[in-house]
Amino acid sequence: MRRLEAGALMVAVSLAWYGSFLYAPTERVMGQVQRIFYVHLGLWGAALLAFLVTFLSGIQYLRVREAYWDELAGASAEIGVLFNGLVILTGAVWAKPTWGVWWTWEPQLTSTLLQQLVYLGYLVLRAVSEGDRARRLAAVVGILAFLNLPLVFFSVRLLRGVHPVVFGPDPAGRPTGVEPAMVHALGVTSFAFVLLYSALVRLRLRIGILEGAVRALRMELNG
Amino acid sequence: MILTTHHPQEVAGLCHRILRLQNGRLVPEAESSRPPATVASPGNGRMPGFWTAYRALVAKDLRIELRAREVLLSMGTMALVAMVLFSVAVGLNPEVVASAGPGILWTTFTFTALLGMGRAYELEQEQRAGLAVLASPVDRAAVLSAKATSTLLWMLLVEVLSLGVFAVLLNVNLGPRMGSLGAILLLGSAGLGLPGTLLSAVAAHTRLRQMMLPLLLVPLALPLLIGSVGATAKILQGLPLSEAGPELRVVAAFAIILGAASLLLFEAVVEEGP
Repeated sequence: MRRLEAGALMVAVSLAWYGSFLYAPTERVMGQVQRIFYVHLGLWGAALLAFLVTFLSGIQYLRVREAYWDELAGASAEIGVLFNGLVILTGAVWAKPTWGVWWTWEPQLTSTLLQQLVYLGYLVLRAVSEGDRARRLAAVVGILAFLNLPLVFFSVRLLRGVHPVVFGPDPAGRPTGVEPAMVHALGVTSFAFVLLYSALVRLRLRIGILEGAVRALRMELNG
Repeated sequence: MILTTHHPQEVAGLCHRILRLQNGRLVPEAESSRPPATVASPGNGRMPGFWTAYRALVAKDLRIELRAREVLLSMGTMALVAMVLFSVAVGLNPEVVASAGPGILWTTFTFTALLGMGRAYELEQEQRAGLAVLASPVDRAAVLSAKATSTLLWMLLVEVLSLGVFAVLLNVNLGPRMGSLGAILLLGSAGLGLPGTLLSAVAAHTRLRQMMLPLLLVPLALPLLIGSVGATAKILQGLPLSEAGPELRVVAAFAIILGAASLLLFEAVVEEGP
């Protein structure tokens, strides 16, 4: 089973490399640098998926009170913050040659940054509390954080009036006027990142569960 | 040893003497010591309605503040200090003030609100007073709403004060815009109230205590703050309130979605689990 997963991941990542570097045509205006788009958007989708899993696991934890769901919520949020951080990083790398700046207060960039701050707070909360109540607190904040995401998307659009929107491709990935080959490359890259996410979350989840077991054993030893 | 409880069945096995309080009055001991089965009859343990509990809890917070005056005093001083800090930092150039004004106001409001919310929950933790409230058979939504209401009241009072200081220190004439500004203040502060109070309860149960509150509330409240700052900016530019529709819609959506979620989730934060 584990070998199957690793094999699938390797195939998907190879296809993603092939799709974004060879199969997809070179963008006319931006040139080769536009190819980071596939990684950028693939990571973004996987990060959102990660935060959705944290939200749903939080609800499930509050319903059934099994530590597993809390561990899953935490593991998923960690991978989500990692991926979302990489979205910001790849965004900056892409923005520099295209827009001439590392950062601009463009709505999509801004909302990615704001959601990163919210989930950093969530991770700090997990680090500074323990016990059953900590699991409940984390679930509550994980739920609020996800409910807040649509509000983040809408509110950053209000900033448009103040900051000029620099020319750029539609980072929301709407396929208007985009080559079919580009859409294929994006699809396979996104799939690869979802697989990578699931593999990382399962590893992190196992570490979390083992850590819990070690803590329980240590408590037992110390009486 | 004195044991206080709402579970009459516990008492029978544990206590030698039983004293019963009913509607705030001590029932004579002879009657109190009757077998608890009669005490536990369903008609006796009626739960106060939402509004009864809510009013009692808000009145309690108002009474405490009237006597101690510490929350308003610290929030008001904080607002004053923040205003002076921002005036010094921004300089008194009218153009700069005009563009930075809404941001100055809402940053001040946010930090004074954080101070008030943190203190509001600490107050409940002193001598474990909050536990008594939670042990009483009261709707949890009423407990959270009451706390949010008293906090909102302090926020509004301090915000009006801040506006006055802002107008004087930065030479802005707010007179004709007070109505519209008041509406934005009310909506924005009300939107902060419930999630802020919930998160201050969350923070209180972490090792960092109230240091944790800004880390949780400020990022979460950014959509509300973006909307409120935007709406305030339009009013300060002399536009009518109706022009600030999109901003106010975001603030209202935040208030409704996160407020409702806070009411639902409060139980999970305060319950005393095994």
